[in-house]
Amino acid sequence: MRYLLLHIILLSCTPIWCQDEFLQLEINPSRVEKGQDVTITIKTNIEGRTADFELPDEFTQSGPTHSGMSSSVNYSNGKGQVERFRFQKLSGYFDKEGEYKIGPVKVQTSSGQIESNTVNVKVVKSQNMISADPSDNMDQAVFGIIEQSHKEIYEGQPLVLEGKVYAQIDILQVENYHNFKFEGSAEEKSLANSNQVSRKYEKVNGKDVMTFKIGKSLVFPDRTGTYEISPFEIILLYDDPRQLFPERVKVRSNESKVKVKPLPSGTPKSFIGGVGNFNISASLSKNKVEQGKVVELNVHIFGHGNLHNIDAPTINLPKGMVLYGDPEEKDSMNFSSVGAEGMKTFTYFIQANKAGDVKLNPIEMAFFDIEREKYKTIKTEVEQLNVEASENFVATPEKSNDDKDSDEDSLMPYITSRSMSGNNNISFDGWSGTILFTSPLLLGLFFGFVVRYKRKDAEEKELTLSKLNAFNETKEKIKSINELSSTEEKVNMLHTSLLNLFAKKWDVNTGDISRSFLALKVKEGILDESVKNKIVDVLNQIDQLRYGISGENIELSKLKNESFKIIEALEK
Amino acid sequence: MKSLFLFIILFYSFIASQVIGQTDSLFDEGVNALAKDNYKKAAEYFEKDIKQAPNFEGFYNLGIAKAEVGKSIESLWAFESALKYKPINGSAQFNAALVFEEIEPSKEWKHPFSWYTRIISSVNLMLWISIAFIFSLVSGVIIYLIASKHQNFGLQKWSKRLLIPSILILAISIYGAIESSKHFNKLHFLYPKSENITVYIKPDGIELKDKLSFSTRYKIISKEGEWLEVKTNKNHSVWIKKEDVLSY
Repeated sequence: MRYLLLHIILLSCTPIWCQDEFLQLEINPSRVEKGQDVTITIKTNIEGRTADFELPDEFTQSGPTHSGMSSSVNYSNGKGQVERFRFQKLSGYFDKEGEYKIGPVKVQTSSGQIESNTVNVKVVKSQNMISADPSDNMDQAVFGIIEQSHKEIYEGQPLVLEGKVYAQIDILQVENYHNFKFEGSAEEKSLANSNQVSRKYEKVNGKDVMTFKIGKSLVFPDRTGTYEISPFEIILLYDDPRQLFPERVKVRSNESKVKVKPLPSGTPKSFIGGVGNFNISASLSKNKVEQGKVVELNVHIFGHGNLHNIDAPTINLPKGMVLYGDPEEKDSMNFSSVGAEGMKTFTYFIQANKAGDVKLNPIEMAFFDIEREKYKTIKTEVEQLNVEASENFVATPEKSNDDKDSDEDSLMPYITSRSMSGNNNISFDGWSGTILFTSPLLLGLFFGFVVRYKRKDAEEKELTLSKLNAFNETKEKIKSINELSSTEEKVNMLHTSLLNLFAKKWDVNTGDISRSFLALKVKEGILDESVKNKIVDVLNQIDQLRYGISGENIELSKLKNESFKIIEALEK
Repeated sequence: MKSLFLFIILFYSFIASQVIGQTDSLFDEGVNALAKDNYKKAAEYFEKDIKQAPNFEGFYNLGIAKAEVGKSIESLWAFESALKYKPINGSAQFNAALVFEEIEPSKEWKHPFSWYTRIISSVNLMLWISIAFIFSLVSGVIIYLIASKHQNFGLQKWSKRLLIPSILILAISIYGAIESSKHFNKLHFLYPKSENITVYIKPDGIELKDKLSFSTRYKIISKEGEWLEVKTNKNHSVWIKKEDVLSY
């Protein structure tokens, strides 16, 4: 009996002991709008202390952290395994756009530290929503309004709907929410958890009003027409200061309408039903294949809009290549306010019956671009396929006329809009072109020389004027010599004034003025011999006075007169 | 400086008016007719559209419409005409090759234009002109700075350094614009409209017994008014009336 009991205990505990340790971080949803609620969950089966993990500064926690125990069943190889774990949940919102990395979460155990995965969240600009004016309802303590992304949409275009509650009383709890309903055939996707709301305060008619948004949904109407959106209903628990216990109020929102327009005419042949913004790429599973064997052509369509509803693009194969069955579809997408966003892959199976290098035709698809309100045709090239000849290959018999169309080469589709490539019919090989191209060069050259000439002229004029001023200034200085007290100062002043004048006259430094310099000027015919002699004479006399070598007999007034004569002679 | 700025604005306004001024109504009508599989009507719209202003999209769609009504030679001519405006467009080349295979199953279609022409004319004429004009202005300013002996030494130094590259780009873009303009304004090839077109010894001259092959592309040697000169398969130089052929 004891053995039996031991076996029972051991058998029941084994699954728990055998359970692998895990520490997992999750975020839902991983693409949110600014201000939209997001839930971060930490799951673990490790006994230990969960260390705080860093959250971005832009994240604001809007409610308390919930924790508890839970379990899930994982199926592997047909066998189910129960997994027990503890969880911690916190919700909040991001108040800035961007891409944020959260985690890893670390758990300190007796055997060391264990780290979780990291998760990324993309926060995008909030969508502009259209709604009735809340200020018209301010006579009510609580009211609800349906917000919608568009009043008119094209068929296939996603419509975002959201309920918004305005309350002038203190709301304690949200209960029993019934979402609005699109009164028509449509595919609906929920974008938010209606059990979680974030309170915000807004000013309406100058009053602070508590608001929260609930039930954000994405709707893809199936048919064109005008459809009503029936109101949402919600029961709210609020605090009434006059009552002992909280009171309940039922709120019914307004109704709204949306018009679903048909797509414009001129649908391109390669249109695959896409409404939004998409791109296309293609690749072969291998570039070399044996004749008669099958190669996979993967066509990836990525973007946002009604991506989940697009059809496979038509493939135009060259002769000798045969399409096998319908293409396989795989997708990796999530739903957000821009519709289905992600990638859809179509895998085509192509039998290569013709040996040699085969260039597959470009793959073309058209979609309706909502922003431009026009059809847009895009295409992608496919790399060359090398088909190796095989002796084992047996050619299949010719197809019947009924099947011919499907495999025969067909024309690439027509173009639906003209590109703004400009006019190519302008003739620029004549005089008009030559003048147009060369005029700036010639103008540059002409104006350059005009400016240069003017500048030179102005410089010359300035120089002449400064020389003229130099003569007058020198005369004035010599005249004012008498005002100085000592003879030495007077002589120095006379000497400096004369040297400065000569230097300015001949554009040299004062140190360059010497007897030999003056002789050179005479030789060049610039200076008269008699004037030169006078200058030399005056400079000699000044030297005698400065250095006191038999200078007692020299009269300063006579020297001044001589200097004036030299200045006048030079002026001429 | 103000007047220079005004001139630049006027120049680009002229370019913009050239681009925006295109009438798209005929083209759109043609596309609508194609969408309704009314190929005959579509061809009429595209013919009128290209008559107003020859353009790639008009010729390309005309090629589709003609192919759908079984007019292979006209379709081939339209696709090759489209290639005159966008010589490296893959869809037009593919369609031209496909239509040619229907006409001459034993032969392989060849692109009408040389690689050199394809490269030069694949750059839009307006882009060549814009580059030429911008670099003409830049070169003008550089020459002005050098000629006027601008007192800023750094500016002088850079002006001298940039003069040759700027003039080089200007020269290349002028050459590209002229070559591109010649390409778009010249008739290069023709297809006879029927097997029995009359050929002449010279414009308004006597008729010759020579025949032109219906599905052959002939290179136009010269043009005189409404007459075009080509060489026959026997290498005889003959003249034909422009109205008897499909030329581009």
